[in-house]
Amino acid sequence: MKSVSHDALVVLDPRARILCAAGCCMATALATQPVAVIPALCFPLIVGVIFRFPFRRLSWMAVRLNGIFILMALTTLPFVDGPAWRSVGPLTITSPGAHLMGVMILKGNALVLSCAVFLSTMESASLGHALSRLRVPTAFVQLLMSVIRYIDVLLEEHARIRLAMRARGFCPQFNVLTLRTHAVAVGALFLRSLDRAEQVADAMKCRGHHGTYAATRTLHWRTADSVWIGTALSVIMVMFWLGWSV
Amino acid sequence: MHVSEGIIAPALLGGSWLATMAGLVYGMRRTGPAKIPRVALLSAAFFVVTFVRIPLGPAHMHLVATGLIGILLGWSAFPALFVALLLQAILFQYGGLAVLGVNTLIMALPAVTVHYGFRLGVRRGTHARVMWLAGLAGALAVIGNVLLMAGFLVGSDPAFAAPALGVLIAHLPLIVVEGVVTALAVSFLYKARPDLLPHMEMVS
Repeated sequence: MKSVSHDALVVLDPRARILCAAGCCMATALATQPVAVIPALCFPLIVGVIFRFPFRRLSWMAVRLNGIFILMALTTLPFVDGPAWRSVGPLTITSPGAHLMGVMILKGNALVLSCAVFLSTMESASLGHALSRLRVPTAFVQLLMSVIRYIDVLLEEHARIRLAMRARGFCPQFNVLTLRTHAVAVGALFLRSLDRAEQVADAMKCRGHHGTYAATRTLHWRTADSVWIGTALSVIMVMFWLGWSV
Repeated sequence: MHVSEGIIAPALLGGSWLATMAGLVYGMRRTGPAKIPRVALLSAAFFVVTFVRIPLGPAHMHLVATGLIGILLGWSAFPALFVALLLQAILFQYGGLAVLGVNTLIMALPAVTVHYGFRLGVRRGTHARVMWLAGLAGALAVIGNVLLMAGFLVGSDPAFAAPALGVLIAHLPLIVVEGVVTALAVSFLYKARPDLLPHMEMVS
């Protein structure tokens, strides 16, 4: 995985970013009222605007996510019983149906936005170091960092296999030949992965690896990080208050 | 094959996070430090394989390879799939953090189940038998994935029965494709390196 060149929130400590994202996601997932989700939608938006987050990169995600919600609404709303709320052409939307869809759409967008703004531009190395400092088990952090390290290697490997397929005139269609070719390519990729895993394990053993994750970077918690954590906590409290008061 | 954020009910999200954490802890215990590179590389391979697109009429479908991951990793499929799905959520916003427990459970539970089925059937297996069992494992893993996904949708709200049925129908071609691809990929591994497959007793 390549590190992202434009990290909008680089001034914040990675631990603060992870805690903000986790807290906002947890509170949003628990919300059951549309009004309670609005702060969770506004908070990452404001953070993104302040830190100049490249929102344009989320446009395809927003189209895909809300496309799924429109599809869900069209297939779900006719089956929700209750008092009629609005009529759109032949479709009558009931109050419980509108509530269900409102919560779903707001929560879906708020959750994805929180994750994207706080975490998507974070450097992979920072993610590993921050998780390590947040007392996530070493074995898990090591696994995560190894996956991040080798995704790039395997993407290159897969690109080489695809190039070889194309050089032999392979043109994917929905037929047995395509499936057979893809199966052999997948098999070859897994085989090379397993071979490389053995090499990596041997290399780690040779270098005296004893199961600890060595984080060479020092993370500095600043006042700004505490301020943003405090703001996130306030947003979460407002969400719970709005949820209870409805 | 991801459930999007915002759809699943809070109680189901909490329950699936607990189940995923239990699977993750057990999977990490079974993995041990020496096997971490193997799990990591296969997790990365799973991440890459999900980019393989197969044309289906005007649309495409992408491979999921849960059957193959399950056959090769067993309980270690839990950490492998959790990490791959976490990275997909962070990098591409596929799925998400809150729904990560649900998505891991949907993918990993059938993977672990088919691992034990394959292991039982494959003892003293011939090439043809291994291939058929792998095909069955690949198809059954996707059936398990889809049924769990539909179950989570209907469990969240009975009004989601129609989208759940849509999910089941939309994944029918993938069940066949995954079965064929897993069978042929395992056949390739059997010919190249049979020692990599679980509990193989070679029959000449």
